[in-house]
Amino acid sequence: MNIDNTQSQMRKGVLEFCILAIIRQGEAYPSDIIEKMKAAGLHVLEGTLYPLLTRLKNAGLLKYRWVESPSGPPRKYFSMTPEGETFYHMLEETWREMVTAVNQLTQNN
Amino acid sequence: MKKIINVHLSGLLIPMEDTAYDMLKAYIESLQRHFSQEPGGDEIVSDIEARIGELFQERLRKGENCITDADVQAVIAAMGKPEELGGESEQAQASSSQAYVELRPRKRLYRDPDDKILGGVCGGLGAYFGVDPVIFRLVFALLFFGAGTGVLLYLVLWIAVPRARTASEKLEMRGERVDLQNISQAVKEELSGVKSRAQDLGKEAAGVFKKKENNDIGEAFREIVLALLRVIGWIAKIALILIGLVIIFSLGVALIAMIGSSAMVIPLKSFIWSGWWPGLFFWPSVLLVLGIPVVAFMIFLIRKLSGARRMHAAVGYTLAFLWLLGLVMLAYMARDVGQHFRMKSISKVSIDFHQPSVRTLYVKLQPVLGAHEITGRRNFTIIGNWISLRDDSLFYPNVRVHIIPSPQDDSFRIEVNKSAFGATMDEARENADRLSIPFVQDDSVLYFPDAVPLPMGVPFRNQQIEIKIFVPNNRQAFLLGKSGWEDENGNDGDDADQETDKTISETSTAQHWQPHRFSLTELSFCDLTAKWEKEHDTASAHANEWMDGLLYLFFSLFNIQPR
Repeated sequence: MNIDNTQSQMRKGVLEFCILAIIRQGEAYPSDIIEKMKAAGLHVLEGTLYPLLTRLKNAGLLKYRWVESPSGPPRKYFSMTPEGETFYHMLEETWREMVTAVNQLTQNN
Repeated sequence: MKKIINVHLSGLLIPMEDTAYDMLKAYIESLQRHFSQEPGGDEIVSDIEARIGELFQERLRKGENCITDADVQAVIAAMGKPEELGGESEQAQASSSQAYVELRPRKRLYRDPDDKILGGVCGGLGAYFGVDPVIFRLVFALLFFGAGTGVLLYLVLWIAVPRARTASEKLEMRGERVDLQNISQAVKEELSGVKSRAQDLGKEAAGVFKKKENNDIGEAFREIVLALLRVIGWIAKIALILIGLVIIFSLGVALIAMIGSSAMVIPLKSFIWSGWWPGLFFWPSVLLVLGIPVVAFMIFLIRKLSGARRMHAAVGYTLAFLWLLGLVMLAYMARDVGQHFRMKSISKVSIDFHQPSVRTLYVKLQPVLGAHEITGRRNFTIIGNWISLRDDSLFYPNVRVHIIPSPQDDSFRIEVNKSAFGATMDEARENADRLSIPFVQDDSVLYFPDAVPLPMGVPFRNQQIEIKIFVPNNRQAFLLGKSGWEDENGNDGDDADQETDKTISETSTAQHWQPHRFSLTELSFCDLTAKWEKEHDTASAHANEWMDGLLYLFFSLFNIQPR
């Protein structure tokens, strides 16, 4: 077993949840999302974000609009759709269950 | 010394070193390839491009003059290599909780662009099986000189196997060893996929039932339905695979048989087609119609086994086109042949013969079909002696005998119906009239050949001869079988039977048929018939009545139906 692989798998699993959580707080464009995740201490390859955003958008969970930028080309600002909201709540529930379960299982170690 | 070039990157003007530009270009191209199979792949790549532009702009704002190799390397490290980003396939696997598969990339068969002589097929095979490609090159070379099959196999592989283009594909090419364990695991995964699908279906179906019956019986029913669906899913899958294999196997066998016998059947063509050109199309079209599905299945199998992802649409279209072409050619030829079978003509001819001295008439069909040993190159038989070609004449079973009671007649009467097809009525009549049925009479025994040959140059138009024997009241007629009974019941019955038996068998084996020169005078069984005559006469003189009855019993015992 390769530890890097396992770690990146663990991160990937929660990545969608985190992206939705960030966007839920307010419209965000990809660089914002990356900055926020870095600030929170979640380090992922930036490249993984873009395919995920496109997939979430294609699945109807996210929508975006173009916003003119003062320094450069227009940016894509993402926001939640109602479907995204329900999806997020389901993920949140799963996350809480997992946290409780994992904490319970690991606290005696 | 380095050249600085200005690059337009998603709306931003970025000065870059040319080597940095090359590196970036290669990176973006690898991303494009990676996401090419995914819906919205272009969008993903352009989003990433925009982000890269932003990062570069930030660096330039901090005071750098231009983007260097190091900057590009840093950006690539931050964004991640294509194979680290994960694609659609990974997501699909993750959703079915089989993400662990991704950790051990399955070995795939690719063509090796770095180790190639023609298309890299042998190099790829070598990498796949972990042996020196020279071995495969030797095998293909031997197959080529052996039977030429190596060429076909190589071409199929060349079409079916994709070229390893990216680094990750090259890694896959040389990846994990393919052994029994891997294969069995792949099969297990496949089957568990079917199982889970069947289970899902079962749950859905059970849900429908559960709404109606919300009790223990419902629960038990649900279980039964679930198990049943699971079993059905398995059986269906296995059956489908088996059916596919059987179809392909039989197609392959048919193809090989066709190719194998093609040299033998070529002489038959002159009996079917009037011109030279329909025959010219025949083998190519048969080859296409039967061969294309075999080739297509081989490609499918190779891709399935090697786990290839990409498939050029052009290959599919080409195969479909070739198959349709073959079909059209066959249809055209069938139409061409069909044209000559539009009209049917039947002409009636009466045959003069001597009324037999006894009350019973025996009709014997002399075996012509398959009665001779195959001697020459152009002599052969097809489908168990049914159709044969000897001395450039085509033989097929085209003589039938009907014995019809006819109370209004007072003597035996024989009528011959000759029938044939043709493009026009005149042609059909001409084809029918060209046939003549030779016969030999030996008082109460009439000998007919069981087939009338078509000489070279006379086209096959299903020429048939029907011999109708009208039997008046108080008379009998029996049809003696073709060659049969001397093999089947040599020692059966009593003495009288055996005598008759022997005589007939001698007659049929010793008699020499020469289709072209067939005439009454030239038949060489005169002395034998003299013997037959003698014995038959004594038999009929002594016990005309019971002999007939005995013969009848004898024939019916061995299923020879007197009519």
